[in-house]
Amino acid sequence: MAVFDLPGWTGLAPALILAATALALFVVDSISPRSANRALLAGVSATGALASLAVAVWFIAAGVGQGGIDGLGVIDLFDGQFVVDAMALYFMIVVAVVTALVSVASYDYMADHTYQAEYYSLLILAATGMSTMAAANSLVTIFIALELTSLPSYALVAILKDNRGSVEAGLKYFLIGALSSAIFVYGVSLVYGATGHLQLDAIAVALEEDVADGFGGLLGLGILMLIGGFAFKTASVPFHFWAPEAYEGAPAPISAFLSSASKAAGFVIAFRVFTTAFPLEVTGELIGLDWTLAFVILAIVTMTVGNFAAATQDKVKRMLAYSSIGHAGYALIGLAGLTVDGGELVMGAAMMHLLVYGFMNTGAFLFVALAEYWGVGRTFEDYNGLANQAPVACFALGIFLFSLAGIPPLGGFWSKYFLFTGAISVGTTSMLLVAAALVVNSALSLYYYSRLVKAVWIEESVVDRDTLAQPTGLYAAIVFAAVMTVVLLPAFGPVSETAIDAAAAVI
Amino acid sequence: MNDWIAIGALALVGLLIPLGMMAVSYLLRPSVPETNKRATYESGEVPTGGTRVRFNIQYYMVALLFLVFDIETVLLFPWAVVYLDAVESDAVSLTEILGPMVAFVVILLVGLAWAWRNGAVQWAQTPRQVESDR
Repeated sequence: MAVFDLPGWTGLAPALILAATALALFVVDSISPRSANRALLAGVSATGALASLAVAVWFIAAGVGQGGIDGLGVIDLFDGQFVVDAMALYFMIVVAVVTALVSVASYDYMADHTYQAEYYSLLILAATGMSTMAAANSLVTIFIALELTSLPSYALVAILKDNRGSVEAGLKYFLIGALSSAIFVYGVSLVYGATGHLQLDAIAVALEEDVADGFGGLLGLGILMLIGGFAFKTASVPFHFWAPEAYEGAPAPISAFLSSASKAAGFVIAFRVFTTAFPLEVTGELIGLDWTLAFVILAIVTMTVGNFAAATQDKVKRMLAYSSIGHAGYALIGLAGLTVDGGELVMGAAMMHLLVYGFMNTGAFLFVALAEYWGVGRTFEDYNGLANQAPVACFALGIFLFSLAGIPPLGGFWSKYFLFTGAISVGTTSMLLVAAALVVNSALSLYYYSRLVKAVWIEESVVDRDTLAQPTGLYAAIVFAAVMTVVLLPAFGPVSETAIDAAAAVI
Repeated sequence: MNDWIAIGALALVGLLIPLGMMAVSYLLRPSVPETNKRATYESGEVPTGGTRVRFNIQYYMVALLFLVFDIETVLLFPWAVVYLDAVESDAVSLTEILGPMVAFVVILLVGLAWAWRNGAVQWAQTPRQVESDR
């Protein structure tokens, strides 16, 4: 393949394409700042996201990041500040897919909005940050990518300037984000103080060469603070409480974007930092504690808190927000299940779950966007009987929710199944506990997901509704996400293979 | 000798000198109580109004744009210093040394053009001015 002839920096092409798309949006808006050509703006962002997706898929197909005879190997850039391997490309795909879905859906949702160009350029800039995060391989580049993602996200959450809920959500999100950024960067400084390096591989080497002997406490505290930063980005306990507020106040496509793409990006840096920089054995000896233990606790607490809180909600968007916290708990199993000589199965399963989640959760939030577009209200009762007016969208909603719950024929079942078998195969008592928590929580989640399905399909509508509009963009995005949630089932062979290979490569 | 002793001695001297000066002047000066001495600026402007003055929101945009170009300068300076050496050496080609900086400046220019077109550098108008423009 022609990848051989390209210079090394083109390995970052999926992220660079998104950056170029953001600049193109600025140029478009500079040419005619007064007029808002919605179709052009949404089209440019969707095209950019799809181009980024295509390049990332092409790289994976061409064998970037794979060893062996036909593989092209891992691309190392700027002295290892960035690394383009299978895991980076995998998460770039997740980000690009969600960005494309959200741009298409925003075409209808943001129809009457004043700041069109700003909205799309912020969206693409945040996606650029997430894509960069996937490839970042040094604590500095990780922090910069994290901020590049966070800053546009704050503005996006608060973009409905006249809506009290949106502004309040933006402020809360910003305050907690600033706090967790400070904690994260302080953790970075402590790790640097203990090891003298910021590049992840160099940290691992320093730990193995006993550079950090005697600084075990410092290092442990640094690692704990890094976990705090990741917990914010992935909306896990203890920094999860911004999520319901921010998701509820934000425009629904942005909630979809944050809860899917942003969460996946948070997980990729967590995976990379903990697998690359802190080898289990050495780090465990130094700080006197296995760091997987922290993730075992976080995984169980996060999924339990998320699911129990979701079960008591009256508002659909809040329920989805808490369920998104629960799913962060499932994905944390990927880190909890790492062992000294393995764990690629469970981490690959977590990556699979994040990909499937990118479709089913984005789809569910986009259905909420559709409901907000119709103006039907926010509670479960308001959704009663929507299936009579909009059977296609409601059928798609059923697919998303049952997939989120993990009902067998759908994508969500397979990723949860792999997580479960992966956790069991590790075999330690704590992992069996995690596996049990996964099953119990999934069973509980079925209750509140089916509550929404019941409201939409079985309950009679409280008020008489006129026929509902069928906005093309939103419908296209929802139907595509639903098709992908189902289609991922036969395609699960290559997907799971890629994910497990990618996980094995970094461990 | 421990290095910290020297630092401690410096801190001590740093504290003693101002305290000593204040003590000496307290002993030497005549005491002439007067109300003018209580003013904020004893020999300058007579202060009027409170301390919480409202600044025009426009300063915020100016500060933001300034910050962008400030950082640009910080990056351009070290680049400009090594530029000639890099061009003369064979290890680095002209595109390698020039390309990244041109890309950086172009990105900034796109941002500036966008901000300009969207009225960031336009001075804020009072509602009355906006009315008369229509």
